[in-house]
This record gives sequence, C-alpha cells and structure tokens, in this order.
Amino acid sequence: MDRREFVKKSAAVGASAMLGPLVATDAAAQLTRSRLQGGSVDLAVVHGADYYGAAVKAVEILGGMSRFVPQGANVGVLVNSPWPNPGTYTNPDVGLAVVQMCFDAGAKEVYSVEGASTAYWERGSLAKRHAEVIAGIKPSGERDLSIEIPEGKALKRAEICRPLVESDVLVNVPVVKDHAGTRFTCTMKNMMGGCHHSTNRFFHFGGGGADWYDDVEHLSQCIADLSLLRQADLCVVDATEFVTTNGPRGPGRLRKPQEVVAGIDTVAVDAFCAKFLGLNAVDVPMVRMAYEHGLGEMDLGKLSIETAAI
Amino acid sequence: MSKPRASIVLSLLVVLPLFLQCCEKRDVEESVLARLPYDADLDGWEAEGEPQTAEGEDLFELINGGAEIYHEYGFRRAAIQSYSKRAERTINVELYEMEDPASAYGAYSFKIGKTGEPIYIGDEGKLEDYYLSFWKGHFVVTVVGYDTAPETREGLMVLARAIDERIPEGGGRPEPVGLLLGALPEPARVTYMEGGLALSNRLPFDAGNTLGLRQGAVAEYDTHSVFLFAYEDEDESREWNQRARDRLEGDEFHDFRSYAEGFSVQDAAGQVVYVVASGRFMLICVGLEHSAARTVIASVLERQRPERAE
Repeated sequence: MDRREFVKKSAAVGASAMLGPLVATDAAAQLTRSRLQGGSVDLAVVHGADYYGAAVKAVEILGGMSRFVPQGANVGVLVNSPWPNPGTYTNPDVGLAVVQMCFDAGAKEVYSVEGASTAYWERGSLAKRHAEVIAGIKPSGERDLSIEIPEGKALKRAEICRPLVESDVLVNVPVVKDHAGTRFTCTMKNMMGGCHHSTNRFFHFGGGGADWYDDVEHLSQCIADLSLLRQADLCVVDATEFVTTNGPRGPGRLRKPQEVVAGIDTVAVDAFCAKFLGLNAVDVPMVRMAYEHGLGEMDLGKLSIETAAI
Repeated sequence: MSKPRASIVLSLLVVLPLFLQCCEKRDVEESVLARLPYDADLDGWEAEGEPQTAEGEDLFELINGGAEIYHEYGFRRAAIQSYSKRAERTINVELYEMEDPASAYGAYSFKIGKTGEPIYIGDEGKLEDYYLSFWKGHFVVTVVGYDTAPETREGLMVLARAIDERIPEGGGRPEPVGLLLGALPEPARVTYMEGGLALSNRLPFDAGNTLGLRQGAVAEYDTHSVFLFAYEDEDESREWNQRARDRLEGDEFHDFRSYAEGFSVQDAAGQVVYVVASGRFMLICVGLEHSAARTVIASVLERQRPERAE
C-alpha cells in the first residue's frame, strides 16, 4: 500500500470522509516516517559556492536520495518561489538539484507542490542544462482538498493541494530568511506554500480582532498546527544567500553563508537554521509550538550534525 | 411601492456599486498611480507592463505576508510598477500611501537597515546595496534593482527623484523619534513603532506586546538600544510599567533589581534591561551595564522635563 492509498483508505473509514473533509491522522505520518528511522546523522551542513553541488552533498551525507525516494514514487517538491527580490526565494539551483536527485533515485513523477513557474526555474544558473528536468516537473493542481486537523490549536482545517498529503514522498526546500511576522521562515512556514490562499489568509489575519496584524502567536500556532498534517520526509534548506531584514518580501540586507542544510526532523532543521538570523529556537514561537506538539527536537545539543565543504 | 419609485430604487442598486467602483478607481489613480513617473525623462527607463495596485486588506493579495507591517502602521493604497532599460535591466518601484506622515515615516524606518548611505530625496532616504527607500508626506517608496551595476544604481536615483517630484507635501518625524534623537547621539538606526509587530522585530522578548506599545521609538547602537514608549497619560504609563515589571520578573530573566526610578533585569543573553517610567513615558535601555543605562535614560528624561511641566 502506498501513501496515497493509505490516506484515501483512512479517509474512507471516517464517518464524515465520504461527504466532508479528510482528517489528518498521525498514523499516516508514521507510515512514511517509519521508513526513515535509523540514520546516523540528523543534520548535514554543506558549505560551497556551487549551490547545486552543496545540495547533492548534503543529501548524500544523510544517505542519498534513494533512502527517501523509492523506485516509482510520486514526489512532491516544495520550493519557495513567488517572491521577486534577491534572497527571498529558494535558489533554483538548490531546487533543481533536489528534483534531479529524485528522478535519479527512480521517482516516477515529481510535482511542484507550490506551483513554481517555469520562469522561476529559469532564474537559476543551471536552467538550460536541466531544461528537460524542468519540463518534467508536474504542476500541483488546484488547492481544493479540504482536510481537518483535529489536534490543531488554532488551525482546525486547511484547504491544500493534493501532493502535499498524497505524494509518496514530500521534500521541503525552503529558503531561510527574515520574516517580520515570525522573525524568520524556514521549513515549517514553507508548508504554507501548499495551502489555498484562503487558508494562508486565515494564518495572517489572526482571530479577526482589531489588531489582527500583530497576532504573532496566532500565526505561529497555525504554522505549528499545519505540521501536524504532514512533515516533509526530507528538508533541504537553501541557506546560501538570503535577506536578514524586511522579510518575507524584501528587499533587505543580504547575508551569504553559502550553505545548504539537510535533515528529516523539521523542528530540528528550523531550530538549527534560526541561528542564521541570530535567533535561538526557544525565542521563535512557531518552533517552540511545534516542539510542544511533539513534532521534533529543538535542543541542538541532542543532534548529530555533520558538516562538509565542497 | 409604485412602479416608477421601484424602478428608481432598482436603478440605484445597479448604478451605485458601479459609481463606488469608479470612485475607488479614481482614488487609486489620483493617489498612488499619479506618483509614478510615466511620461518623464527617465534616462532610458520605461514602464514595463501594467501597474499592480491594492487598497486596504487587499494588500495581502499583492504582497502576501509582507502586508501586516504596513497595516500596523496604517496603510491606504499601494502601487507596484516595473521599469526596464533596453530590455536588459529591470527596476521595481513599490509605492505605499499610508494614513499620515507618521505612518509613512514608521514604515520607512522599519524597512531601512543599519548600513547604507543617506540620500537627499523626499523627507529622508537611504540607498542600500541594490535598493533605496525614502519617505515623503504620506508616502513611503522603495525602488529595487536586480543587480548592483552602476547603471542600475543610477537608475534607482533617477526613478526616486522623479517620484519625489510628484509628491507635493512633506511631513515631520513623529514625537517619540524627536524625543530620542534630541537627547542621544546619532544611532545606527531609529525605528518608529505603532504596535507589537514592529516591537517584536526590535525587542525579541516581547513577541506578544506585553508592554502595551501603541506609539514609541527605538534608537539602536552597536552596543545597546534605547526604547521610548509613549502612553496616553501618566496613569497608563504607570499601569504598563507595573505589567512590564511583572513580565520581566518571569523565568527567562534573572537578577531583578529595584531602584527608586525603576528596575532592571538580565535577559537570557546576560544583557541588562533597565526600565524607567516617567510621566507618560516608559524608557528601556537594553545592553548597557546599570550605571551607563541610568545615565542614558536620564539624558532622555532631561529633554522631556519641559513637556512634563506642561
């Protein structure tokens, strides 16, 4: 049974599933994550000016893409693409590396969960060389799947695109950067890229009170709750060049550590990447809230981190 | 209702929405679009494509998660227009009409970094690596290039000057900024704040705006920051000072000390947070040791003394 069948069958059992939204279950997540246990390295951090190569190396340190992508799998790749300004979107070379690795591992289909346009991929330096790969990326379709999140504290339901939950493998490829609302954005916030506009609006517009715009707690809790839906099987973070001010849209001051970070624990990855913005994980509400949900490890001292340079 | 009267009512129901739509369109045209240069000599830069506009909460549709901070300061309308030169270079202009000059100054002061060079455009402006921002009257403008070539950087200035000429009225800095800058040396950056979102980006431990900021400013230096919170009156200031005391006696702070004029704690990073309430103001110095913090705060209070006497 693959993930898609499992999700559909789980939904069919629920009393409301035939007529209403799906219900996210912890069991569906376990189906995928149980396959990933046993790695010796929690986080891979690779430095280098070759961003494509750094992404490849980071995944290699974790065991290679074949550890995450079985033959014939449908893979959802979630990049952060829609922003116009430098340092605000995932470097397409990093995203391309992930897509290529998925195909090389035997993926049958690769979906762009967020619906990145061809123009986005063509911003990268390797677009011409990988034109065929870009042409092979499938769109995610409409964000018309309504799914309930019973354990969500602020977010009880989300409208999402199907590959976010139905793809056999989900690879989250965010850019780490400043964000005026949540202080920084990385893997967990990037999941909003698979949600319908109305769901994202709910995140940002808060409880609808007079001062909705500064309801950081609501926004952060929604982000943490969204990760109850599904955590990515693999996170590959673009920490090559990013804005440290005026995020998420920019323009802002650019920092260029030229690093790619990879891991499977989304909380751990975000906790580590918060440091690129000079933040401690405990000071970032969405990381703390996701940790409180039991979604991963926030204490970097408990993690095995391997670094490399190319 | 008689037939003639019914048809008048029906006609109004049809015509009125159309009339209001036309008024809104005229507002956008007269306010923001009129500030964008289309027919001027722009040294070869030409408008590319149609402008994108937004009013009120629709700003979220235009700039997504970047919208909240503008709403916190008081947002009315925005326009974004691309310009290109010989189809080789592109510059994006973002023009925001805010509720009043204080709002515009606030949004500008939030956006700018601590580095960059001042430019003499508008009421105040700054040129950073690949973009510039300025404010004038009700408007805050950002002009973004996508490279740092001299021709592009000159293009930023050409467009900024052309927009400056189209905004007739200037404005002044809000009171809290004047109070800080009148007493302290020139900071690396001063930010005017009107709510919790701006505050959480400058005072990390107060993500929930537990200090009740409605109007305030912060002057940032390499070693420390000085915050000024302005309340409605002395009673309100006293109330929020007590709440600040309760908040900062929490677990994440230590070494609580009480003085005749206020109190101090140390945060998790070991920085001294020194708090004084005086009249309708509360002042907080973060990062200096106790006696230096006391001196800095005293210098600001000295400037306010004539205001207190009123």
